[in-house]
Amino acid sequence: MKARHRVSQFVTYALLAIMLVIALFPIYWIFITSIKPSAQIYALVPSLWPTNPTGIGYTNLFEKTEFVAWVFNSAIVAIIVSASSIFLSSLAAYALARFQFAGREFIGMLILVAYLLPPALLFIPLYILVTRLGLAQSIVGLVFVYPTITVPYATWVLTSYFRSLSVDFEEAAMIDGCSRLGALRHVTLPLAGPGVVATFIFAFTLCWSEYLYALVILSGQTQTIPIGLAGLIVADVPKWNEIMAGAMITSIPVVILYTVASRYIVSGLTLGGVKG
Amino acid sequence: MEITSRALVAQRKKAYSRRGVYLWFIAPAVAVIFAVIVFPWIFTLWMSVNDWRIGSEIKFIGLENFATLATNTRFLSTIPRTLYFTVLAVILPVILGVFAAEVFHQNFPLRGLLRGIYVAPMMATPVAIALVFTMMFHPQVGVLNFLLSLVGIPKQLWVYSADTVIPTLALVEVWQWTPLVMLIVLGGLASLPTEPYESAVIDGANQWQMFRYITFPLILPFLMIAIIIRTIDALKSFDIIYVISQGGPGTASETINIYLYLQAFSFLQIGHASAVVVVFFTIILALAIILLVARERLRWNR
Repeated sequence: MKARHRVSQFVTYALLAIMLVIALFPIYWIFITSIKPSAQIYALVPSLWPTNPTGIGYTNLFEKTEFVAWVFNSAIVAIIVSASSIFLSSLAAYALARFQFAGREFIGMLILVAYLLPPALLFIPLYILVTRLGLAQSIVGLVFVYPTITVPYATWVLTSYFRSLSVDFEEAAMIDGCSRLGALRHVTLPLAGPGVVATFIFAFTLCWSEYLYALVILSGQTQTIPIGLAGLIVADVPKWNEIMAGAMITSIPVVILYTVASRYIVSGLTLGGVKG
Repeated sequence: MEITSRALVAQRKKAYSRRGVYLWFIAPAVAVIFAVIVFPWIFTLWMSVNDWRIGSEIKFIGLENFATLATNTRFLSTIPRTLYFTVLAVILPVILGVFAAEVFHQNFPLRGLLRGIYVAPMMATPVAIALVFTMMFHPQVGVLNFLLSLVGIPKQLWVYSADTVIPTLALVEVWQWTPLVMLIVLGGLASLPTEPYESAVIDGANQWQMFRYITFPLILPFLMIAIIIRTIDALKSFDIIYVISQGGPGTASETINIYLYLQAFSFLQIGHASAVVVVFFTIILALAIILLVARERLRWNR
């Protein structure tokens, strides 16, 4: 029995090692490429570790591309959109979770459908609308369009969160003279804190890495990080160290957000689906 | 008298506002939903029955766009291709995710930390992932062929061959989203009771039998959730395919999403692309119904 236990432990460790190597290799490759000099990137025998690391990829990224502007654009859009989406969605989710009214089921279903549909189904009418409003080719257009992704998502997830919370505390607050809005703000939202934080992070990440709508709506000078980085590849011999330096920096805010809120993430990811 | 009627009015007002209060909560989101669903849909349906190219007159042509689609081989070939990609990008992460969840369900030191590291791929920006895989897939200087050559496997063409481009692109999805399936299944495993396993051990069941007859039926609802989430995401997939292969070589990796984008924004065929949207929506609806029916069946069987 003991020997068998040891064997199964060995198998677990071996599988674990293989899984982690596979999961991390591309990320490692982003990092290592970002600190390689250009000549080494196109070597026929690629070196698996940095032999003479250099920061040239990073300095070129900042000096020769518009990277700083892309970061600025992406950050503005992601923050405005995810904050306002959480605001709108928590109101709607609260109503869906707590009030009885005609058409509630129907609105809930519409929200789910809106969340599930591929954005490719919507980009043509949205593009035409944004163009008519004169917002194309600017990040204002994106601020206008991204809630179509984030609001249905956030509303759906937050509705399940609010439903899972007991109404007792709210009722107590309202008996003590709190309004509905006050109960939502002072009781429900703090209780749903983990869910709200996780939803905010997902909404932020969605906007931060969104590609299709940005590709359709922006062009020329104004770009977000994903569009800007993908645009660097057009050259015959792409400057991979610059591109990968950009990919490294792009992942920093996401990693920070996920690390800070890691204990909320798993429930945030699965709750909407499990309870739905 | 005066006082009571005033009180009554006030009471009624209060009751009214309580009844109407949900409107203020729901109105903003409903406005967004209308902007997302109702307006685009009516608009898309209208565009799909018009000959609309950017820069020329809009002309009503009835169902002609759909008739053209029915004989357009380039469009028709995108449907089985999209389904092929979707099946690979759903089945493989689900199978591998179950294995990974079994591994992470064991007890070993630093489990939480290692799990956090393992799920790193799903946090990565798809475009960054697409870019690094573009580099790694390169047949001459890509690191994947180099690594394969170390173990004696011949060079692959990856996304540079029409035969392998779809599985290769699906591989990127598998890499990025297996951890998500792992997390969902792990949640399922954590909720399992221990008694059935104890009695199974007493009855002399082996590992596989325990998985097949105890674990698998119990985590099936979680698997369904994983399958549904994966199907939705695989059907949405655009970034990875467009950045890595732009639908090429030729049209070998042109899925419906890519075709749509190219028709609308490279060829400016808005009417034609809108008809594609209508067809795509019908396909998604059919898949959704199949998945929902499957999920209901599972519920009844338990």
